[in-house]
Amino acid sequence: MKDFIIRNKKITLLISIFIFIIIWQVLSMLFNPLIIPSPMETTKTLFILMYKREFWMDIIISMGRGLLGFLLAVIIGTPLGFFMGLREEIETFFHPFLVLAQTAPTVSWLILGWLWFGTGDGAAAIFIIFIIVIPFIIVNVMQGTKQLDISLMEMAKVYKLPLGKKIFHIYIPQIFPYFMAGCSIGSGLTWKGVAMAELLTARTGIGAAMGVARINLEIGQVFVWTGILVFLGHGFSKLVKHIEVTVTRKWW
Amino acid sequence: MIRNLSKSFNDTIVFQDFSLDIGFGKIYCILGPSGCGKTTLLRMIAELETYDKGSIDLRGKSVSYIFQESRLLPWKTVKSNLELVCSKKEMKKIDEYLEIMELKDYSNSYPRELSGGMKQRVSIIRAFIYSHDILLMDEPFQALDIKLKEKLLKEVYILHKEVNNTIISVTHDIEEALFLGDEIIMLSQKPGEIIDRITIDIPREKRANNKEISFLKEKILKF
Repeated sequence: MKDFIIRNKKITLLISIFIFIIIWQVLSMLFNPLIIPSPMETTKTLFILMYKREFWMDIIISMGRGLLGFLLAVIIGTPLGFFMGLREEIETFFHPFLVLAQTAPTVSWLILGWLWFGTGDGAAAIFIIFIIVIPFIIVNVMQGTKQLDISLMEMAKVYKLPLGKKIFHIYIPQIFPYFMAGCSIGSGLTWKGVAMAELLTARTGIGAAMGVARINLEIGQVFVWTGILVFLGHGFSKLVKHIEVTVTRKWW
Repeated sequence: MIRNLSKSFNDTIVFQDFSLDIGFGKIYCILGPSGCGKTTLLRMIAELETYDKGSIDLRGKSVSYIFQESRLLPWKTVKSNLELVCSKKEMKKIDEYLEIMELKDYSNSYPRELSGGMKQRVSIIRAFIYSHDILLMDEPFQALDIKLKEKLLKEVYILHKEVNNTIISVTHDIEEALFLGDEIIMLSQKPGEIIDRITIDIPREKRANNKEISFLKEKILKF
């Protein structure tokens, strides 16, 4: 039965992709290729780009920026969220900063990043990814810390567990699912942020390449880059999910 | 050991100038009605609760605790739960204790795979394996059926003999106190005061269907 459901799911997925390509093909026939290139034309553009060194360099640069911004958000956001969840006064202190990061429009950060870091090496893009992702990490880790089971903390106190044991054996396993939920949301936003930030603030990377394609009316290239971003976003989300499942299975 | 202790929760006075002396190496059962502050007393001894006035002096003795619930880490196996509180030296004893508690086959099981009674047995092992002088027991058998409760009480007594610790057990179950205790300390309703201390000199194996025990039971019931 399980095999049947899995097989059925795969078939449904293939049908869905097939229908998507058909619709795409029909639309490309209805409109000017400058507006919607056909799937075949887009594939051809992909192969042409694949033979260029810059194509791979742009992907690697964007991946590097995306991962760096994401990791910075995780490294800074996790302890911040933990202490905010642990102590109310710390939460109150950082609350205005969190509200600012959560509610200020991305376009404001884009302009500020561009003004503060300028264009070129992608520092602005890293900053923007960081600022987009960090609120989700903080809020989720804070929530997880607030949900810590007091009865287990008391047990740890009675048995005088050292801080290291408490953190590793009691805090982390309980906070981890919340942390991973934050990472999951953040991973989806990272690649959207990368493209948007690079488009306006960088000379290299996928976003910058999309900007060049737009100026040159290379709509096929825009489609190719969009596909690559979808691939990167989906792959990264899958990786995060895989880590979550593997570690959670070990602990729970 | 406890001197002029006072504790209130908002407007409710739980203890006022409460004092209690205990010797070491014995089992004390604190008996009292529900809500008289028995658990609060244990929590204060274990430093899980603060008090308003007075002092608790354990003379440097270390404390272990069996809670009402097992409080095992659900993401750790039985053995890992026990290893967490052990020093390297104590780890050697884990298998021996699992054997005594008939849990050897479950050392690699997770708490979710165990029954309520089995989980509580693991928490008993944890409390005994942790190096301590005073063991606090907060009605750990209240949710268990009578047969299992009797079995666990006997096992607790065996382990007590082995490690020679002091046990302070709170309960509202007279039978349990009469089986386990060397001394029964009876508490009144709030604010908790000692209304009587009863020493039991009869060996445990002779306590079943014993006239003197029946007389003590009658006496306690009259309070």
